[in-house]
Amino acid sequence: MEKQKGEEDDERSTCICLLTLPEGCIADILALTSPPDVCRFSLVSTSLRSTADSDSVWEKFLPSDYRSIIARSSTPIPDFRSLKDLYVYLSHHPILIDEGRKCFSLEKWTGKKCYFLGARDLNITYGDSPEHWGWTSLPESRFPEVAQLEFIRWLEIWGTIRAGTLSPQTSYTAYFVYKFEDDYGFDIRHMEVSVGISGVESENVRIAFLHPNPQYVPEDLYDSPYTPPSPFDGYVRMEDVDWPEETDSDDKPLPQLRDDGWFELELGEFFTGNEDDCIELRMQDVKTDCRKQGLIVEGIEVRPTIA
Amino acid sequence: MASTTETKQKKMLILKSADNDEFEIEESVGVQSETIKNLVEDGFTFVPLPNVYTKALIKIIDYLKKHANKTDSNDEEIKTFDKDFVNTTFDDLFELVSAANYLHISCLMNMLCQTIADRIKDKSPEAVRKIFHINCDYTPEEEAKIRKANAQAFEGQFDESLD
Repeated sequence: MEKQKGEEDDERSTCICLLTLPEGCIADILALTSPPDVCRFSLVSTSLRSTADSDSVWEKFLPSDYRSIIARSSTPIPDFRSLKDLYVYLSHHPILIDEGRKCFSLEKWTGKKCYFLGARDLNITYGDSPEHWGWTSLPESRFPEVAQLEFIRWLEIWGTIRAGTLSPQTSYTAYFVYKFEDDYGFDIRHMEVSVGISGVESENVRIAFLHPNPQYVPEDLYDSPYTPPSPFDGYVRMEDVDWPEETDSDDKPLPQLRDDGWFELELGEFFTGNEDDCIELRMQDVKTDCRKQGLIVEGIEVRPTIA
Repeated sequence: MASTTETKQKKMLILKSADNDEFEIEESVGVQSETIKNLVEDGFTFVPLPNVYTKALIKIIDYLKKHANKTDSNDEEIKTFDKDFVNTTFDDLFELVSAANYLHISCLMNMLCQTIADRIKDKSPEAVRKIFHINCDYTPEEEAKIRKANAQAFEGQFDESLD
């Protein structure tokens, strides 16, 4: 009898492993890891793979309202065999929603929501005045239309997004996405960028250049706020001079060239702590009378902040 | 029977493990387990647990006793207890999660699942096999196919350590 009991113990100790647990239990554990982890665990064995690929795990990685987001898609979405396939699709193929005014995708490592507000979804002052702004279609844009600046002095663009439409309790960063057909005025004139709660005056207005290689023109070279200096004067390259006093050197957003050929400029960060907050994302130059032209606006992208 | 006399004495239950060891606990401690609660509601005071072995049951009774005495002031103490509770080997964690699942103790289940999840995050498939004593039953061709599909979805380095 004693021997038999010992054998039973041995048998049991080799059996207590992940696979002796009920499948629901394994699915609960896997859903608490992350999408790339679960993909990797499907390589462990065929039985673990069946749980790792199951809808009960991947449903936890998809946003809770994924069905209603997909229903707003402008283009048909393929039928997916599994929620894992849907997840992989949405993390690699941004979908156009809301009549092509917005783009939705998932951040592939975490499944957090990303939104891209197209130019048509933004508020562009004088955007419906053809002498200032034109609307055109570009093959390199994900949106059916982009805004093209003819010329303007009062440049003011802002978008809004409700925190509740994004993933909860998450830090997001907003980026203004654009390119230049002509950079007239933008090389010497900086913009004000801010992210804040709509209706509350933002304390975090920062200055930034849209131009990747700007020249800094000291304010004292302006005859008046309404008389900008001639762009033909020789100005100092940015790296040779101190930035304007109000700019903290660590707090100086610079434009980055994206893989898709557009530039992006960071507007700021926010946290989705309160779902009713309406977040305002703003980029403007309304304090001088500098003439600017040739900017092409694709939109404002909002994606989770990389830690 | 207890139902006929309103005594001030605490109602007690006897739990019997799969290895036939018996443990006496207060009913109020035991009913944190949905499985035990259902049996108590059906009038049982002797509860056989054929899926829970003595080693895991001793730890789980400790956990239930600690959490039954939860007040506003001992929050920190319970946090420390929980931290020590899950600071054990993978094999022990699996035995505990298996028992907690059978006993339907949801807060314990959540804590154990989260602990295991945190500890297997970033592990390579090879490390996971060793930790969980799983044999790979893929052919090299099948494995290569899945690796390729994963590489298309994600990239990244794996953690080979076994702790």
